[in-house]
Amino acid sequence: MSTGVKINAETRSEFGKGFARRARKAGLVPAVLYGHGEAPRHISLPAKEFAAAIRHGGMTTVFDITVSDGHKTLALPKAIQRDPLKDTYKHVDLIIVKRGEQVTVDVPVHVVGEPVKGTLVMQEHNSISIQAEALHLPEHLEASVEGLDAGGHVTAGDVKLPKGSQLITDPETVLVIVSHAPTAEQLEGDTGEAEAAEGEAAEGEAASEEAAE
Amino acid sequence: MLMPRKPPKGFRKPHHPDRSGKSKGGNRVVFGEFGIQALAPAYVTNRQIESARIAMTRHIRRGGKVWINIFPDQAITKKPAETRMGSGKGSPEWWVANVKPGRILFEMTFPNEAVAREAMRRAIHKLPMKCRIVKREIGEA
Repeated sequence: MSTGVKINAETRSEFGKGFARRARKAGLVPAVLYGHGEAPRHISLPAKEFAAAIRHGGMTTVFDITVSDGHKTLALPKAIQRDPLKDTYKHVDLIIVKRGEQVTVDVPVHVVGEPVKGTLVMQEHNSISIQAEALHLPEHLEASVEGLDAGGHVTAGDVKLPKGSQLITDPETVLVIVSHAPTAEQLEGDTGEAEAAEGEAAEGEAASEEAAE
Repeated sequence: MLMPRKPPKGFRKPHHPDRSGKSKGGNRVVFGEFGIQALAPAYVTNRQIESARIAMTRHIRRGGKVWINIFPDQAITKKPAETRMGSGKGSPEWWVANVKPGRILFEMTFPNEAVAREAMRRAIHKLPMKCRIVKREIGEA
């Protein structure tokens, strides 16, 4: 359970890409804090501490934020912009939560267990929405494929939820499918002869168009 | 090999696609467990895509699945050798996917991580730019 990771934030008065770039260079992540009818607060979070908290607790980490102007609040990450190449965080949207409040969050689902030999496990959905108390959000949920044979599947309704939480996603949503593992021949022939034939046809058409020109 | 069935009218001999900037989408692993991410811009030909796919599938043999996330939908033209300039644009020679840094090119799911990584390492050798292996982030929903 992720409960209130303490983090100190600074208020920021400058905006725009110029300031954001300077802040990121100085080891800060620009963020915005809003919710519960309060005016949005523009803050900067320490990048290292924030990244460490997200790495360990994921998107369900509740932050106990102390802003430099003395304002204290609990907040949940709502949207995180990440640089796909540098693996750094560019901007964070934080939503204010209150102690004891019921919040709806997307919780990642991990596949556990071993299915029958010769089968392939494919995860259709990576997360499910649940409603739970803000300070008792699970880091992840588990979908067990133990002993499942080809054709078997795990739905959202099969996932065991922690006490006091409620499933928001449709319980019939398929999360994991167990199918027959493709054979070597099937893998080899993925983009095989059929497409080659299509390609030849396309080339033929192109040649005829050229001749027409 | 991958190529469009029939390019739309007016797109048979396009100008060279823009190679600047980073990938705006398709930069996270969504289908499989692991992915090959481009670190530099490049035109990836259909031959290179097929070669990389074969390198991967031959290594894993069975028990896994490979997804190809890019499609060579851009034609690159070439004029024949020893031809004088002018007299129109050359004929389509290659089909390429315009890949920008950050793009996930292939995805894979396989029970054994070490084997999957080795298969992807072999596939990277068939590609024209620097790439890295990335894992699906399970912390971020």
